[in-house]
Amino acid sequence: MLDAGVRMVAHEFHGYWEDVGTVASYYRASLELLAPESRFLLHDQRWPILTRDEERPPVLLGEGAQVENSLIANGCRVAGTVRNSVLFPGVRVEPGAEIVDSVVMADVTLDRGVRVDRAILDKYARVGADAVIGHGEVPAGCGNEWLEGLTLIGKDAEIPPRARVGRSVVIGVGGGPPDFAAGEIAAGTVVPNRLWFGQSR
Amino acid sequence: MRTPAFAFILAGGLGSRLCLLGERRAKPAVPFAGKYRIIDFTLSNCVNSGIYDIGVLTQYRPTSLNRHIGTGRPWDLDRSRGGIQILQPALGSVESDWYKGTADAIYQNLVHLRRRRAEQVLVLSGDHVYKMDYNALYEFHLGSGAGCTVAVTEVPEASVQSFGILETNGDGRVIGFQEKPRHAQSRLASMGVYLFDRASLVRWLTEDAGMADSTHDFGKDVLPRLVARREAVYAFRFADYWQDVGTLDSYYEANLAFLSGRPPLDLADPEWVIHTQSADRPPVRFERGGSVGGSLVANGCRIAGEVARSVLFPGVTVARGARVHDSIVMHDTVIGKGASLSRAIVDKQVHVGEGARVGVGEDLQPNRACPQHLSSGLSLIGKGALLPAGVTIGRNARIGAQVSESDFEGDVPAGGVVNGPDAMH
Repeated sequence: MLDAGVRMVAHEFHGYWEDVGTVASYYRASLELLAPESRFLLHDQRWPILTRDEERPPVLLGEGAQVENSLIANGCRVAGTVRNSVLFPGVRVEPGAEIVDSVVMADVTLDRGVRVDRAILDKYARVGADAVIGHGEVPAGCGNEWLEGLTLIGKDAEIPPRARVGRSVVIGVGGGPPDFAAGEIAAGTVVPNRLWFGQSR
Repeated sequence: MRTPAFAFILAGGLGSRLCLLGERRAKPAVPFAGKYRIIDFTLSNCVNSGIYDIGVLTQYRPTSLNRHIGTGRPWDLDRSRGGIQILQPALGSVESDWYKGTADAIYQNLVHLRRRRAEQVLVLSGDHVYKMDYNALYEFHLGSGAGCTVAVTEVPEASVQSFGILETNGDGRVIGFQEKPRHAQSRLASMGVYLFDRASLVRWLTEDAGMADSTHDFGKDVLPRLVARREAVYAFRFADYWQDVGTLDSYYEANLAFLSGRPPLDLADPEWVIHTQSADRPPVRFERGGSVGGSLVANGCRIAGEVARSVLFPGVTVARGARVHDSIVMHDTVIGKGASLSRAIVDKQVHVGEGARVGVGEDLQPNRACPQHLSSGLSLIGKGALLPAGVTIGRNARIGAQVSESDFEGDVPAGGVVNGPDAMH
């Protein structure tokens, strides 16, 4: 158009604008919502962000729940600890579980004693008791630098009890107990997706 | 539901025992369990049972209920066939008048059955909290050959005087019916859920309408009369949770029952969703330094203070240093910095000024204006009230709707009353 001589002008926008095209920028933009003065206002009643909302009950916080600096959507049941994290609708956090600096999508369940640190868990993932997601050091030169040390758990994945998942790991969609034969997924590993109608587990 | 079904929901009730909460809205429209209205349970029971043709009979202060139901979309009741219809008494027309009683309300709306094929008519009450599949009731009704089946639940002996009590023989046939008796042999209480054969309903209500000595009420007149002359009235026993939230104390207790790890009914059951009209609001925002335990908190809330054993409806703000304990706080109320609530029921859009304290002290002096309903230590704050910073409000106090800071003459003692611009007492 410019070559054709069309008059084109730029309008400079001063509000919040973010391209969430990479895992790391998606993560940063999600956690930025937690800042005391988030640059992107979710609570502006004059400019609600409309979405398709499922009918879910209010958030139920158990007697021992500890929640700080987090966004928690309807339908969540939290009896453990949640810090600096974003929980989508229907997440269950059992007593003794702890989620820090993470994004947890709809209907994920975290059993007793689970620890999640700097991870993104996709919908319906199930994490068994005392499993650890995102532990140890960020590996150097593993080829997963794009994760910036984050751990990604795919949709429908099932993490068995007591499993340990290092940093910069990707557990593919539908990953499950067979992938955890060693009990531990070393930092920097990528576990490929599994189709739900594929091999039986 | 296989056969065509139609339900009337009686939603005209005056929630006078709910004191302030029921002053500006019909009882079925009173907010419940963090995001619902009481009528949502009955409406959801209908659609979850496959009943998509419903007439809601309103009367008293229907605005809030009308707005809540709207076109019925949250319940998938915005339909071209059937759906939901609000039936308000048409004052001043020839045959229609303000409803005299529950039976009269249905009688005046029998015309709505004319073009419907339903052979049975379900008559429900819009002010109870329960989860019930009406299909089981239909099966029982058709199997027993009843003209009317009344759903019943067992209540403690001490509370028979608050209910219609039924006596049954071995096969469930009702042989006695007493409305709110002092003492009773039976502990089976009517749940306000009736299934009638259409022809019998029309006949019985037409007969009742012509009786000068009737108050035209199902519980007081129609059912005792049918039972007395041995019509085929049967009782259907319901064993699950059913709660009448007619008083402030029962309303408070029923709300707080949902805070336990084992709530009386599962609000998150994907097979039996409790639908409601909910606005698009962001997730709950828990700020640094806040703490929340044993509570139900709806979306749009912002929590920077301390919340324990409480129910927070959408959009409530609890500022830094504020403490909310054992309380129910409705939509968009703001609890200012350092303010505290203890055993308080706070209606929508209230502003609690900084450092104000509600529910202070041990003095349980009953409320001056409604001593019979407000004496257990709860404090009530009406919709839109503005509580001045630093004010102290004792227990059993009642602060009227839309009260402004200038309506306060200092602190409010236990049992005290502050009336607003349009007090109704």
